[in-house]
Amino acid sequence: MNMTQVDNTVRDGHRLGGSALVELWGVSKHYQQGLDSVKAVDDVSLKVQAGDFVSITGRSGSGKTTLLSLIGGLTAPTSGGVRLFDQTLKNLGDSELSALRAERMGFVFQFASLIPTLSTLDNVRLPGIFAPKPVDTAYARKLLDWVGLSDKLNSYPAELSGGQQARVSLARALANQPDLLLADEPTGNLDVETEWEILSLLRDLNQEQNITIMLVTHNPELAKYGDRHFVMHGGGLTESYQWLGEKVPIDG
Amino acid sequence: MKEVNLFNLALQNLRRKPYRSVAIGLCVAVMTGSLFVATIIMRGVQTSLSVGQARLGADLVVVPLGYESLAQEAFITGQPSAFYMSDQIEAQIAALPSVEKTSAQVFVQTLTNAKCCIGEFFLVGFDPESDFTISPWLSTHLKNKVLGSFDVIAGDRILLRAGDGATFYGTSFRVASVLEKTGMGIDRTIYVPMEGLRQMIADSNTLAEEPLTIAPEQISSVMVSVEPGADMIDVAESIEGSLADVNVFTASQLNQAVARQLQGVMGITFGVTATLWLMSLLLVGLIFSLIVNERQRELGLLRAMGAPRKAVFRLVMMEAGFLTGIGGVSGLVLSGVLLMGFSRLIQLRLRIPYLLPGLLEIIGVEVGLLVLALLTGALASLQPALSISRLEPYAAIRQGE
Repeated sequence: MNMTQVDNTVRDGHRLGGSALVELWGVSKHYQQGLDSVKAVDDVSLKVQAGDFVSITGRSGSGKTTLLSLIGGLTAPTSGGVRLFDQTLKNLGDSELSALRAERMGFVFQFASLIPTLSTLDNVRLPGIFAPKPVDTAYARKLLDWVGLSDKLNSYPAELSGGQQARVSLARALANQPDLLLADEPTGNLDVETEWEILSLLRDLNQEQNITIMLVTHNPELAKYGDRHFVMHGGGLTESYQWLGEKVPIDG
Repeated sequence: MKEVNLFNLALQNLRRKPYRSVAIGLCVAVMTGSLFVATIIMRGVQTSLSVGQARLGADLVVVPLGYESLAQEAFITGQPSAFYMSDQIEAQIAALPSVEKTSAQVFVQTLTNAKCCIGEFFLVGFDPESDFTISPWLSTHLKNKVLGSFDVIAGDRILLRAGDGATFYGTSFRVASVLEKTGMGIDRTIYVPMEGLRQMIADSNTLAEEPLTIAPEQISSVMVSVEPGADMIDVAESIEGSLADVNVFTASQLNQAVARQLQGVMGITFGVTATLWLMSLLLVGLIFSLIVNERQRELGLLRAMGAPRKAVFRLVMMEAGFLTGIGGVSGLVLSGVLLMGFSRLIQLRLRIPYLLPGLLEIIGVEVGLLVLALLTGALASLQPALSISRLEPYAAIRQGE
């Protein structure tokens, strides 16, 4: 399925022109581990424009996931600030922040964490519970078709392979037609072939739907398919390169 | 296709660990069922006592000194008792202030040669002229027929019907009417007009195997009605103060005596049910802490999808509500069926005439207990629900990995 068939009206209404979609300034996240204070994210500043495909790599424990969670408002920074869609997160209450996540963001995690008692289709429709309007069943079907699971609509998570679950998780993240997709190691536990398939889907989303993607991965090979590549080390973030030419084709 | 919403999600979640869900439901079912049975039985006992007290008809009962407990036992259980005092006492009591009416009764010992009935029961002579305890009842049930000297009134548990003949101590009587059941000793009592009783006593010398030796001037008790507005306790004290050889007890003391008899059983029942409730509360609380812990990551992911804190809180509370609600309804239905099925047996074992209250009252009790079951679920899951809803989504996801 070509994702251009998906209704973009709502999302296009949220486009932010020239201002940054995501902006971090001096963001740090420290937490206590026993007697030690760990700097998971240390003084990170970053601007991401609408339509960017950002990849962040780094070793385990370098702070990638924490950074993504800070951007998504899943945790609050110890210091510094995060601005998303022209809104400073620390000024938002729980309801407003939740609404922002429900309406404008999608998350994909390493472990799909689908609800085991819901069918594939219902798992995709799930985010609609928290959005202003439910996820249209036809749209959920389209998403599952797009990730190649049109024959698994009524299957339950236990009946799916890890790769299939990851695809359902991706479809679920797109159910509310987000502007920003935050993907944390979405292919972390998958085989190479499935890994490329997922990456291909992400690339399509970015190129065809102009969805801003921030991908965290431990695999530097995957990272090069983003427009911008950052490396995290010891909580700090460094921009490795910004791709200005034609994007690298995904050939698996 | 089912709608995907919090309600259905909570329902679906119960299917994940069916045995655990059934265990919680069963625990709540046992709790509500036991409480329902205990409440209905207590209600039945209270009703029976009230009816019994009303049927006693007297404010005070005066008996010979030292026979208070025996007399109470006789009134409560119908256990035949025999104790006597002078009939002069009645006149002395009647002369005291605040005493409105008095009526003497004569108790006859255990029947050994009655040709009517099996088992022990209580034969009581009463004076239809002065009686105010059973006579008001008789006037409505005998439809203005005059009670003859050898017409008796049988308690509900005496195996006699109106019109039956019965011979006591060699004297023949006819059953004029049968009293409604009261749950008190009255049910095992046969009331005989005083004239007939005195004749029976006199004739027992020649007609009975064991003659009765009750002198004509002897009575067993005096039923006393106090004037409206008078304090029963004051009058009782006045009687005991004026007459040296008597004891006085009130109808409410009689109730207390009955209540004491049942107190032990009901105390244990309520103790057990209270323990069950506490255990249910702890069990549901513990299990919901486990559930929330197990699903911490998933609940964190729901937050990432846009679920506000209150949605996660509601989801956990709803699951607890469904479990305790389903358990509660099951317990109430099952205990209701059992209670109705075994109501006669319970009445016989507990010796109470009234068990099941009216439908509205039953529904009221059931609704109350269902609310209690739901409150138990809410109370038990409150802490886990609050703790998970207050946790940062990131922490929930990471800690749940």
